[in-house]
Amino acid sequence: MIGAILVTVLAAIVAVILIYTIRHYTFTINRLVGQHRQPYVDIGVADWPEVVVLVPAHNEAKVIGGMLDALLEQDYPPDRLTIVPINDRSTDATAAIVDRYAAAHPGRIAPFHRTDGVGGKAAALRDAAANFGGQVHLVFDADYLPGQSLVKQLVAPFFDPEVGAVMGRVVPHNVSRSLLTRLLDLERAGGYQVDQQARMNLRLVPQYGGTVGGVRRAAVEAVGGWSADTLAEDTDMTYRLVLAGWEIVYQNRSECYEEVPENWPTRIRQIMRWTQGHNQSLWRYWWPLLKRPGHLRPGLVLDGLLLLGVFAVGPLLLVGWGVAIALFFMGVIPLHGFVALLGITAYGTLGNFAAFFEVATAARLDGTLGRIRILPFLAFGFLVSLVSVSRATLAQIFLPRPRQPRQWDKTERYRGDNGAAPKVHQ
Amino acid sequence: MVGMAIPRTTILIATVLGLGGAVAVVAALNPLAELWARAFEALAGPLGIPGGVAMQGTSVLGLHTLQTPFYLLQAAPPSALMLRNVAIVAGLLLLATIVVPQRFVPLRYFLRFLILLQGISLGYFALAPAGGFPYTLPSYVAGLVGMGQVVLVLLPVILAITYYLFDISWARKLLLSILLLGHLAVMIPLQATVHAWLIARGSLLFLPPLFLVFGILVHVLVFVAFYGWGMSWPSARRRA
Repeated sequence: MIGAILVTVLAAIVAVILIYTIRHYTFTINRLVGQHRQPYVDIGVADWPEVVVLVPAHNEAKVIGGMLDALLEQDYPPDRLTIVPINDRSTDATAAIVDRYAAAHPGRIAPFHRTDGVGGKAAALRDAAANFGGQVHLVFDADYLPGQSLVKQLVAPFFDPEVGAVMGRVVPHNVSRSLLTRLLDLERAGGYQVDQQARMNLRLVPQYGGTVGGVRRAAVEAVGGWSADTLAEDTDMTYRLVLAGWEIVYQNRSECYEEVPENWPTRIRQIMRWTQGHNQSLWRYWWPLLKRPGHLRPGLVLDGLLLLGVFAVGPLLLVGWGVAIALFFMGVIPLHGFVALLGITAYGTLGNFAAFFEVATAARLDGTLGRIRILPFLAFGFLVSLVSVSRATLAQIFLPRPRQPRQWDKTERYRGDNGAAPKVHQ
Repeated sequence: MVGMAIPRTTILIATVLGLGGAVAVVAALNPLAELWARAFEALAGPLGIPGGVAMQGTSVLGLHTLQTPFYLLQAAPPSALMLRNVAIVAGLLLLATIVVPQRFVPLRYFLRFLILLQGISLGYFALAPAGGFPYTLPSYVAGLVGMGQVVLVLLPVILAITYYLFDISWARKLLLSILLLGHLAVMIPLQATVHAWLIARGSLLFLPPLFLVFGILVHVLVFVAFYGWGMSWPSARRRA
């Protein structure tokens, strides 16, 4: 009886994992041979809309200068571009650096200083966005380094009136610092070059990632503005826009360079924060999405649900392992003989290999071949992610929520104290 | 944007090589099993593995009988002394993972996972009724080798889908396939021998962690390592 129940549970979990495996293969094959969509990306001359670039910053003295320099060098018409560094209660030199830049570039940089209210990036964005006009609001993390044409590339898709948000590609620039940074470089390549682009090609749900992208101000206002009570305001915004019928665009050629964590503890904190934020969105939006508003295609809904569930797969996989181990000790094998052997082996090889295939394909498309040789080491990254995601999910379910207002949970920065931008080698 | 235009001839050749390769491997499995059985016999002496070697026949959908060699030796369940000693070592190893430097966090997680599995195995043998463990060493070795045989059959198909499509010269594609199949053909009997030796010398206590961590997972990682190497090779067009 117990064996039969466990077999049923395991079969259900395997079915879910198989769906994600098929999704990996589908996306990778599509990225290889599919028709690529990159709307308006090459527009160079146009009647450009007014743009506000929001840069949320909390104790970002090491990096904010590099970001502001890069934004000042954009080829976007200066009279239509307002740069808004949002200094949210920084205790380091961020405020002074921002004010110094504003004084040196009057009319181009408009600092927004927050001294009270709810903490965190989401709340900072909500407050700042409400104080500035413009048709398009771009949002960059303070450690990012946009190329000279990035603002134009990210704004161009908004010429399509159905587009509510645009996301660019994130590329690590501190790749050679450690094994971890090299692994994250590969992971990012898989996630953006293959995963996001395939979702774009297939008209599914490219995710607005909140670190190098933008939103149509009218669309954000139409869906109620930025949520301050979420750890993942980007995922939250993605789903509210999708449910309201807005299109999300991913621009693979719009690259922006970021610092990835250089040590495992920082990486673990980052994953746990992402997990809890993403799970919040899962909890909020799975049912509204499943009810499927009439304007959403079934394929888009399915992809939206799978995207919402990505961080739930980790704990599910751990439960699956637990059940499989229990069945192993009980001597219960669901099928018998050669079929069982074939099934288990095929699942173990093809299932485990899907993510490696996606990452290797992405790196090959990028044309940087040497880095693919560290592919097997990604297994270490997967193990750490699996444990971290599961810990974060369990903590979210079982631990009481803190009563104090949300605070910044920042990723450690590694750049020099002068905030200067490093040279990017790609 | 960079993508790939895959010519129909590439798809055709990949399909033929993938399916043909799988059929060729199936045809080669029984002669290979004979070789593995001889390897088992050759290794049994120096390693002190008693009992001899036997073949297990598995019917594949009634069309073909797959021969799988295995060691006939038996392994005992763990004694009370063994349980206690392994528990102490596992506990010490668990403590040692606390001082593993932060840059080796993945190693720390891996060791803890291994210790967890060993701990479950300890709990099972300490609490379960004697003779209740559902596996014997011969059946385990036969299962492990059989799993390796299935991996060998699947490999050409997986390579066809995930590697042959890329713009790499066919000579290199074939080279990688042969190296990978050859590597696994050598590794599988050696892996089974190491497992058999450890379980026979230690006890059935070590069978679960060996199977769950050092079984098919090793095959997958070997495949990924070769695949990563092969994918790092330049495209045929760039070299031309």
